[in-house]
This record gives sequence, structure tokens and C-alpha cells, in this order.
Amino acid sequence: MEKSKISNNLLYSQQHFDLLIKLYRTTFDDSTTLEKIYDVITEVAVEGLNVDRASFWKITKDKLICINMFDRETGLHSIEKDLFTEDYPIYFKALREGIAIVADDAQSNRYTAERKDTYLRPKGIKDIIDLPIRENGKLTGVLSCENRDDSPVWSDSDLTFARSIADILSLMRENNKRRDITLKLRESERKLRLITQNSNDGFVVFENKHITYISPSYLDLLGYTEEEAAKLTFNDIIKSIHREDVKRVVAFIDDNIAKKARHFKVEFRFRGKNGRYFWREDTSNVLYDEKGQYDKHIVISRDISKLKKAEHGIQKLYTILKSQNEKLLDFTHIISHNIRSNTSNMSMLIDLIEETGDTDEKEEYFKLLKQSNNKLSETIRYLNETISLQLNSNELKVELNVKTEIEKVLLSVNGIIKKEKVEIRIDIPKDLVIKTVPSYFESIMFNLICNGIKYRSPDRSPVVNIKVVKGDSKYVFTVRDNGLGIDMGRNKEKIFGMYRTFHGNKDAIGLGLFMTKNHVEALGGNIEVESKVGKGSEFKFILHE
Amino acid sequence: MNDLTYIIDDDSIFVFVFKKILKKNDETREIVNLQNGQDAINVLQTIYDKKQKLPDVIFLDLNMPVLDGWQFLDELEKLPFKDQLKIYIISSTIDINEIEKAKNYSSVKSFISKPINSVELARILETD
Repeated sequence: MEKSKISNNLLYSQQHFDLLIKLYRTTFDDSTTLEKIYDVITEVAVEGLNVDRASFWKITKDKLICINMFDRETGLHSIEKDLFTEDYPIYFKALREGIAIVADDAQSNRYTAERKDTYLRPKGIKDIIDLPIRENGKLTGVLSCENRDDSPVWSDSDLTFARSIADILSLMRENNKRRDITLKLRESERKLRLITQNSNDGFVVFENKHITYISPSYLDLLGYTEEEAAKLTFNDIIKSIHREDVKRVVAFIDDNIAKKARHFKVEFRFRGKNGRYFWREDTSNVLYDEKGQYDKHIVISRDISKLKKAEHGIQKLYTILKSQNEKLLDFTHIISHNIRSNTSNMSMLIDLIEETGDTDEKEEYFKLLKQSNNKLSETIRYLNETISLQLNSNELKVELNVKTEIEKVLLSVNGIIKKEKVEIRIDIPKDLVIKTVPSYFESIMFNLICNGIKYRSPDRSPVVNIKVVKGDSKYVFTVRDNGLGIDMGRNKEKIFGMYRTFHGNKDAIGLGLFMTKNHVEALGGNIEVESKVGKGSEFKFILHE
Repeated sequence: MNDLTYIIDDDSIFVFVFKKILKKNDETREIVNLQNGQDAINVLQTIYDKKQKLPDVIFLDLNMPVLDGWQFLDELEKLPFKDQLKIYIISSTIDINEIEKAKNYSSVKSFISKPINSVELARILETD
């Protein structure tokens, strides 16, 4: 027989079967080294095939290197000398072609005859089976079984058995390579444990979506015990990610693994055992096996809640500063324009006064000069107050009884109230107390009340309603009049004075609602107005607790 | 002679004084004061539609409520009679950017800085 097709369908003999079981048990024990496997395989081959010698050889480009050889007679393992390609070209060619050489008549067999004089005859070998050993489809070695006496022809069962042993050997070699890596990783995991013990970052190793290693720090991060964490699957982890982040995170991870990325980072909100979400940054290091397939990944988790908070804080601060800057620019513009308008008018009036001889005219101009001067003063006063407002925004908040304070303000404008016959209606809880800056609060109420009086209608008796209501963690102040009302369409900007021209020389009393708005906002509140021409206006501002 | 003059400005003191100066410059002037850019656009549109007399000269302030000077000029760009108007911007601004910006509008003849006196006014009006 020169070449034999070894059929997989044949049954083993009982003896063969027993030996294979023994082999399986030995070789799949994790602690078995490759050396031991070679020992066992060669021994099993000898016994199962009833041959004198069995050996495993590694094949390189130019030679066969004997790794392990078992001799039945001596019962010992040893190593044969290397066999070189140049010496046995036909033999090597056959091996490399993947041919399983079954030579009953080794010394004359076409493939093995080359070795007759140098190897077979000296050792008295009559029969050989050479089986190719492959790893990942590549020929890496040969399992050689040699017999000395003229024994019967190999049976199909023999051949099947031989093939099985060769397969097992191939598998073990492949496995062992992986097991080497596993050992290496176990080493590095041991190292990791040492490192992670002293780090706040959590380390976790995922294999096939299961956790195979968790650092103590990771347990702390999540609030789980080791037992609880060991039961966690990849899906459990996914379920704990905030629903707004989960889609993005899963897509990102899948994408990176598809791209065979080795290193990537992702941020998301995660819910630990206590149910609370915290911001977490995971850095993943992915390991791929020899075939380039995903093997496992090591994730380093970091709690970045503080960082996120700081980020938010900075963003908020930036927004505030930006808006303050804009306000300042606006404000600067308004002030400088107002100052210049007034001084320009004054200088023009002075020119006119100089140029005219007419006393009546001079008097007229003087009146206007006075007006301009007043306006200028008002602008300067306004400027001063705003500056001091900005500087003193952290002015002390004090507890005030709202009703008492408002009554104080009403007292200060009592003269006008009496003169204009204004009816004041108050709807304020007697015991309502708020914590606020007294001077600002006074100023706000003063301006609003004066406004209510100023915009009275000649057609009806003026009534000003003042109402204060407590909402949830806020206070709502309403000042309503039944006066002229304001055309909201046209004048919406004018009311709180946000356009660039100052308004009202009739306004000798207050500093305008622009100031009021500033004061309210300095207290952290907001103000709005509703008005209807012919009906009246309602100013509403809210202060928070 | 008998120039129809518009002052588009809401500063009443300035308007009063400027009227005096304008009258000094030309007694026969007919002066109309409009408080803001929107009023001015409305009035001009009406006049044009009714085929009445457009102003011979317009003095335009920049800082006004509703529609300020720049907004007025932008609106004017869309109207068919814009080239029939002679506009002088008159403002107390010292911002160079604004003074430069005035040059972008073909109907603006010159930029006058407040305060202004009659001598300066005469000079500016003459150079046209």
C-alpha cells in the first residue's frame, strides 16, 4: 500500500477507543504541559498501533527536528537526530504535499526508500506510518510510527486511530499556544491586581461578554460585592447605562470592534448598585487572537462625575460671563450715548443763548438747558447706581416682612398718593417673610408703585393693586394699575428701557424701569409686564427662595 | 428755498434747538419732525403713493426706538424712491465704525456729528 485514504467512518476497536479516552483525559487537563502531551501521545501511539517506536517531529524549511521519541523496548523517551531535506528530497516532498505515508515495506516504499541505508536498515525498521501534523491548516510536523518486525498489514481501524492521534496532537499544539497566552494573561492579571489595588480606577476584563476579572476598585465604583459582580454579564452592564447614552455607547463599541480598534474611550452615565447615575469614562483595550478575532477586552473605568460637574460649572460660568459682557457693552453704549446727547444739547443751547439778544428767547433756552442738565444728572446717577449694584451684588440678604416693607414705601410716596387721590389696595399675607437685599427690594417696589401712579388715566380714579403670593420655592409680586395702559406692540422695548435712547424728562421721580429690571435680576428673579391700552398695566416679578 | 426738511429724531431738546439753527440757515424751510424710523418710513411711503412732495433733505438720528437710523436706511433700500432722497446722518456717536458704515448707503450724503452750530451746518449744506 502506497497511499491510503483514511476513512473517518470506521469504528475504532475497543482497545483503540479506551486509549483515546485516556488520551483525552490527559491532554485536556489544564495543568498538562506540552512535553507531557508528547510523552503520552507517543506512548499511546505505540500501544494502540502495536508498533515499536513513535515519534513526533517538527518540520522546518530544511529539516525535521525530533521533539519526542518513545521506544517500546526501552520504555524510554529520547530524541533522534535531525533529518535534512537535502538528504531525503522525495520523502520531504511527500510530507510537504501532505501525504500520509503508510509504508508496509518501508525499505522499498517509494517515499521512504531514501532513508533505507541511513535510517531504516540500521534501526531495523520495516514499517512506517507518517502522519502530517497541521496547525491552522499549515503543516508543522510529523507523527511517525515505526515497526521493526514483519507485522500484519495496517488495518483501517489502525489507520483511523492513527489519524485521530495526529488530530489530537494538532489540536493540543494549537491549544497550547493559546494556553501559553492564557498563562501570560494570567500573569498580567496578577500584575493588574497589584496595580489596581492602589488605583481608584476600576479594572475589568471581558471575555465573550462575560467578566473574567474585576478589580476591587471596580467593585467599589459600582457598589457590588465580588459575588454579585461575578454574575454580571455584558448585558447587565448595558442595562445600567443611562437611556440617553446607551445607544451611542453600544454603537461606538460595536463600531470600534468592527474596525478592530485596539484602544478607545467612551463617556456615559452609569447606574451602580445604589441606583444613582454617575458619569463614567471607560478606556477599552481590546486583545485579538492570532486569527485577528476578538478575544477579550480590558476596560479601565473612571468615575468622572466631579470632572463633569466642573465642566458644567465652567460652561455655565462662560454663559453668564458672555451675557454679562453683552449687557455691559449694551450698558456702556447706552450710558455714553446719553451723556453725549445731553452734553451736546447743552453746548448747542449755550451757543443759542450767546447768539441771541432776546431775553424771552434766552429764558426759553435756559429752561431747556436746565432740562438737559437734569437729564445728564439723572444719567450719571443711574450710572452710579448700576455700578454699585454690580459691585455689591453679594450684598447681604436680610429677612424682611413683606407687608411692612411695602407699607414703608407707600409712606414715602404718601404725598403724591394723596395729591392724585390714588387708591392703594394691598393683598399681602401678614406674616410673609422673605430673605432679600432691603435696598433693592425697596427700589423695585418704589419704582413700580410710582409707575402705577404715573400712568393713571384721566378718565377714572386711579387704583393701584399690590399683591404678593407664595408659590413653590418662589414669591410672585404683582403691581396692577387701572391707568392708561401701554401699547405693548410698539413699546415693548421701551418699557424696560433696553433701547438706546433714554426716555422721559417728565420722569423726575424714578430712575426708570430699566433700573427695576436690573434690581430684580440682581436678586436672581425676573420681571414682566402685561398691559392693555385703556385698561391698565400689570407688572409681575418673581423672586426665588 | 422752501425746502421741505425732515428731522427724524426723538430727542425733543435737540429737535427744538436744531429747528432753530435750520431756520436761521433758511427761514423759508418747512420742517417736519418724526420720532422714529418706522414713522418716517410710513410717512414717506404714503407721500410717495399719493404722489405728494418728498422731502428735499432729511436729517437722520441713529438712536431711536422702534426702528433706529440704520434700520430705517435698510428699509429704505427696498423702496423705489430711495435715490430721490438726500439724507444727512446726524448723531453724537464717536464710533468710527458707524461713521464708516454711513458710506455704504448711496442716499446718505454726509455724516454730521453733534453738537453742530449754524456755521458748520451752512458749510455742509453748501457743499452740496
